[in-house]
Amino acid sequence: MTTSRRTVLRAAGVGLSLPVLESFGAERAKASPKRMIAINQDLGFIPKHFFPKTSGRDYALSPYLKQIAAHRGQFTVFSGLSHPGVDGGHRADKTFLTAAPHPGRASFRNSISLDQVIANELGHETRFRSLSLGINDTRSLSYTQAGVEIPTIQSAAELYKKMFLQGDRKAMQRQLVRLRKKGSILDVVMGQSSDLSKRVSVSDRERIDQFQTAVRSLEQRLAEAESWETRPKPSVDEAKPDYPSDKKEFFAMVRMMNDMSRLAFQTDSTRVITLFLGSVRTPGVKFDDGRSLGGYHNLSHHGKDERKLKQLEEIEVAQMGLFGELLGDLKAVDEPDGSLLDHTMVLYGCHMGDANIHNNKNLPIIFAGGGFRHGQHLAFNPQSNRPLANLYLSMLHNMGLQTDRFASSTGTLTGLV
Amino acid sequence: MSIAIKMNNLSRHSLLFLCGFVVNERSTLLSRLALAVLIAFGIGIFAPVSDAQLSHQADLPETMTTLFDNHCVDCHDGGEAEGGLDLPSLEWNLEDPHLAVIWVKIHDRLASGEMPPKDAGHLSKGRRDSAVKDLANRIVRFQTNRDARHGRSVSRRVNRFEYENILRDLLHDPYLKIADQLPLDGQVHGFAKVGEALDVSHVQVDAYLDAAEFALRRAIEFPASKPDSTTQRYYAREQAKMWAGKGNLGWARCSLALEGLNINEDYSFNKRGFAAPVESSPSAGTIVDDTEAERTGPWIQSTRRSNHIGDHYLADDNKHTGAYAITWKARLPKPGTYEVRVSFCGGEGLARTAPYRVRHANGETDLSIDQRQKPPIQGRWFPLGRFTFDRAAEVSLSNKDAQGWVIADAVQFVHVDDLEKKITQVRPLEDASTAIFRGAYTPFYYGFEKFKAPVRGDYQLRLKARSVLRQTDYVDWEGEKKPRFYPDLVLDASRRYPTPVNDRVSSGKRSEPVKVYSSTLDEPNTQSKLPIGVFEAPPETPGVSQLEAFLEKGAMVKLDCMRLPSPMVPAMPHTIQKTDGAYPGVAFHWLEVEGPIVKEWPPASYRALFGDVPFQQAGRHVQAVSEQPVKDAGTLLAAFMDRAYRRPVAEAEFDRFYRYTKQLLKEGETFTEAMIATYSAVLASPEFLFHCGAPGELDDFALAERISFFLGESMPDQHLRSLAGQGKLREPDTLRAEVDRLLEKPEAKRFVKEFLNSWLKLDKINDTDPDRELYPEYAGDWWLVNSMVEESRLYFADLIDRDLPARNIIDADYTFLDERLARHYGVPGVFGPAFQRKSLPENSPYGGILTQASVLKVTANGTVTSPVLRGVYVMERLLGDPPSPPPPSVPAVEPDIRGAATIRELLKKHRADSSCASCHRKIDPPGFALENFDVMGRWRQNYRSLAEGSMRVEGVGRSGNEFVHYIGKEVDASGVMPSGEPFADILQFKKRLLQDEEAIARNLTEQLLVYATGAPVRFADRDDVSAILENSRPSEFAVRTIIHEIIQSPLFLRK
Repeated sequence: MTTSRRTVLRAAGVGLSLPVLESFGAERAKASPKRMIAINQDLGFIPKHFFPKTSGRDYALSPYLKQIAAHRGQFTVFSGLSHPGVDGGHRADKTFLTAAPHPGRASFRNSISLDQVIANELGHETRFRSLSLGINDTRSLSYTQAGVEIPTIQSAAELYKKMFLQGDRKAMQRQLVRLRKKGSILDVVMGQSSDLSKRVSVSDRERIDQFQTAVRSLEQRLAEAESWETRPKPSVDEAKPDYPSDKKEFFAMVRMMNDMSRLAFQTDSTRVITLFLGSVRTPGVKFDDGRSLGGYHNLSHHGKDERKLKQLEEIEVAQMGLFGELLGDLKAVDEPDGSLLDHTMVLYGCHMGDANIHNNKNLPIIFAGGGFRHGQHLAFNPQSNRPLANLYLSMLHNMGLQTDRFASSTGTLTGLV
Repeated sequence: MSIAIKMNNLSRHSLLFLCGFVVNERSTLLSRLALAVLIAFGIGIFAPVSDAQLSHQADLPETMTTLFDNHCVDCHDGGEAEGGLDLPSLEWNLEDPHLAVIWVKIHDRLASGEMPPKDAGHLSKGRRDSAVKDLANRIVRFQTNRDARHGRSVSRRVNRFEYENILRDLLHDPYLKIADQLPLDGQVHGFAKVGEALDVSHVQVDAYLDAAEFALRRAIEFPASKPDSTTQRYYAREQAKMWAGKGNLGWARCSLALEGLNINEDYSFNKRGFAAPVESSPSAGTIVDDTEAERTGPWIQSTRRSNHIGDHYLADDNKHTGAYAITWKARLPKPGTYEVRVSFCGGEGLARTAPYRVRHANGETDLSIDQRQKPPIQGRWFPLGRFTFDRAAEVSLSNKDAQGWVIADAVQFVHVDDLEKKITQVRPLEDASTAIFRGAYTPFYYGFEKFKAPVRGDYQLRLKARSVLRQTDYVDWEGEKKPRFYPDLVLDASRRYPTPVNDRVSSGKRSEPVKVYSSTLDEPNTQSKLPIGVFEAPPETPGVSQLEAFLEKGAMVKLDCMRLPSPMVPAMPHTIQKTDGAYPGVAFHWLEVEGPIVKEWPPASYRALFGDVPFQQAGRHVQAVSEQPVKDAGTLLAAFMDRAYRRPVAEAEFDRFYRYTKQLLKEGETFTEAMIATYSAVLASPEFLFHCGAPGELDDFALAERISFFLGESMPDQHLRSLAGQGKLREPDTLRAEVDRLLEKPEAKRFVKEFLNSWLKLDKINDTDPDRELYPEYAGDWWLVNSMVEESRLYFADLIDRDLPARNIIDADYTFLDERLARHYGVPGVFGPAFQRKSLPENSPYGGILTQASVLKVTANGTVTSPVLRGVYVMERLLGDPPSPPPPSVPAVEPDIRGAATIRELLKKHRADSSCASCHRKIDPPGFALENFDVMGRWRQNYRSLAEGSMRVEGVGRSGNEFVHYIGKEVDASGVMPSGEPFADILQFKKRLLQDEEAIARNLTEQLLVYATGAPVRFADRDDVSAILENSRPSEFAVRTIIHEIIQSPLFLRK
């Protein structure tokens, strides 16, 4: 029995997290950690209302950007960005953060998403390596190294429970037993696969190796989870959200998920969040004033019909408003060296440039916070787009990860300072 | 550590020997297998072409490079090269699958003579042929070599559906649902069967552990003592979601006690039956309606006010002249004092002083009644007072000085004894029913929630129901709105909002199909529930239908009247379907449940894990109690692993797991927990998860596995395994017999389902919903959507069953239809929810997978159809000639539903671009030919648009929404084949396609090959594919024959 390796792993899990434990102490004088949240609103925006007509620092706000005018100095809006080789209309959602080419083809394979690159490097410092969230859709923005989709948390109430509700001693004990049992099962599995990989042909071995890596990576995560399980969860003033079950309460859901994301950062429960706003699967929306509109997805196939465009515009204005609320809330949280927004990069956008034609060029992208000197419209060539992954590389550098490349990046994004 | 380093540590020989994975050293197959390995080894040695030798274009023969220089590079050079092909920088590296595709394409274009074009200089036939041959040889040599080292396919893990099926089979738990808990699988050519794309990450491993534990614990979740079967009846009136009670949701459902009784009264129920207070019923006593009365003057019949008695009521001309008069005469059952009541509906504008006169035993009494007031009794009757009669009774009314419209409807005489005694009539509970007048869709569900299955198991369900019709009254539309309805809806075509009248319900005129579901959770939509079956509620006499059902513990039985519309808003009275002059509905009486019916005890899933080990209750689960835990664990584990691994298990493999069990037992785990943990480990181990095989001929077990995962989506059954064990499986006749046997098994349905889901993308059927403004008739029509998919499955299964030619993919004169789909296709004579094979009318555009509604729906987006998307789909999926993706610089055509231009006109500009034209020449013909089918596959002559058109259509859709759209431009479905032959419409287009049946068969063969072998069909496989086709030619490329030939082919028999 290879309990020794397990013990080592478990010890490693604790060891890794010790510095964080210290930082929970009273004098949290160290620099605030960097965070990142990436949000995809999967129907995007009517381009003419989203993109500003002028560029530079004194650009004129577009109708949609007027919804977040209060934060003008805290965000940069881009035009002329996209992922090279990414096609497939709706299907490109899975490459929004991975930039893997040709999601539209029948033989598409995904690669690691931006958030997971960060989580792999920095995730051990927090209770959750990363959080993948989704609203009204089970699809996720997060993909592992092997391109496997990471399931999302679908409810703000469930997320709250995971982050803040402390189970009693018994529950904790049960969870520990469960985690250890899983770990011991993996020991058996692991030994087995080592045998197999010696027996199979060369190309097959790659597959087995990948399986072994997956097992190891899960073992590591279980060990971490185990070490966190014994430590108290942070407590917050906010109550558990009453998360609606009616899909049409979309805006209420977005607001709650945004709140939970802010709390997650505030309590340093994680530093990386992805949030998939499943507009496509949202049957209709209820506005704050009680009115409602149906057929969100079909409205995006407006076919230039005036009435549909009008209704779609109303929904998109509300979406922008919610994004503005998030920026405001992040800004309102003071940290020792600035606001929470100053330490949180917020990426907001869509994998489609125009849902009516389902194209994947000229994506609507807003980038806020994170200590950049924002307040500009960075316009790139609409005919020959700049890789969106260049922005991602800039983001990785901002997180302190010195890497030369992310997916299709050709460098950091010029003009972003 | 990289693979290269590992390889250095092993000699090539020992590596290949280990590849044989002869896991059971005691196996008698040892020598046989070792031989196979050595053969594979031999190929590796004697044809040693290293990858490096082929990896530069410089290695291409001069004939080839000269040909490129002389005939190709003028166009295919640099960043702006034609078709994106930059020849000089194209690397000769077939290891890269993308490059390999390009080189094959170059070969094919050269071979077909398509390239170089005529204006690129003369290329002699000899030079062309030798270049083609040379290129072909090189590609084949490369791929054959690669196969010798790696095999054609890469070992792969099972996909999530296979994982679910294996666990179902292994644990004898046919209704286990775990696929949804596992992450999505990567695909190649749309199939989740190819090793390269079936990646694994920590997410999967974690999900496997959870799913396995879930499945294993289910197997011990049952009461320790055998549950007794009981029979119990649940009345519809007891169900909160069905019985309307005193109030009623009139538009959707109503409680029916007895036809003709007022549903707004209190009913009292007890064990004997239910008592209806007859006295207060509108039909009690003696009633004389206006139709039976003596009338003077041109009274107008009306039904505008709903609370009248009988078919209608009468109204005067509001002139108060006395020209209108009416007298109701009755002969009462006995002399005595009666309460006399009149009905006049009530409301604004009616007579303020309507002069009534009652003739009774003591003379006459005149009364002046204000008809504006609301009648106090049941909203219908107004009491004039109590009078004594000698049996003859008479009430009259005129319009003299009435001051308002006079309404004359009915008169009722109720004996005072009846008023005081409250005569009640006791009827059996059976007669109480609840009528439902709509389908089930959020937020309106109905079913028998009082019943919850006590344990997981099989039950007999008996449902008593009948179809009914409910009369309507009308309220005028305001203003000039003219609703219009599509014939499919059979909605009310008058200018009025129909309002249902709940106490005028009569027998239905046809049977109504009702779908039965089971559900454990409050799932948000009908589709996620588990369908149990469909029964038909007959008209006239209530019928009892019986269904056998598997129910999870706590499952409820839910219903859906499939044919009835499903308004997606709760209170929408004006959306109810009208047929035969009334609203159809289903009156439910009761559900009788018999069960659980225990066929095996202890349950098979327990025995699969714990054999004969006794058990006792432990909470919701049972606990296996072993006297000799270590010994029993060994026996059980060996049996389990043997089945799970699909091959004999080696001692060492077994020991690893057995050690774990023993350790857990030593640490104090219970026997049950130790076994579950060990089984979980087995179910997460790579031997369980991966299909493996050494390069070369598959061994018998790997072959059994491949056949079984192809035709049954799961592990081999006992018969297949024992043939593999005897080494007989490979014999062609045995193989043939096995394939036939497997295709007859119910598991073959899994193959049909998963293959079609991937091949035809039928799993995308619910990705989009039809726009409710443009297509109001389809909203929430799950019957239609489900039937579309069912048609495709039945049709394909039938091609296999009857071994019919592959040309049936394109066209046939029959198909499978139920009532809903038949109506969709305009085929008369199909009634009810059962599917039947049906001949199609002559010149029907339907028949053949190409024009099945399912295919037409998955290729449209709910709002518009795109000839481009449909064209690409047909080329790629049905004709096996996938077009290149569009060059990135070309903008997509923007859909426009305003009606000014058709998609075809919009595309015209696009196609004028020469870089688009070459592909559109192929894509457009099928795309255009299918333009006569709307987003749901129904035939259309004209497009619909939202802004302009020849006719404005407005009304109320199936979902209750008001809509406006226009009949737009006419569809032009003509086109020109790539060969230059024109076609006028889909019928001619199909004929053109059928000229090349082999192409249709070749595509099907290749799609099946990817699915069956887990590897794409490559250049080097072409000869084998041709052999399969040649062998199937005598059967006219029949589908089962093709499956047989695939399985007998080296492509299938070798890794």
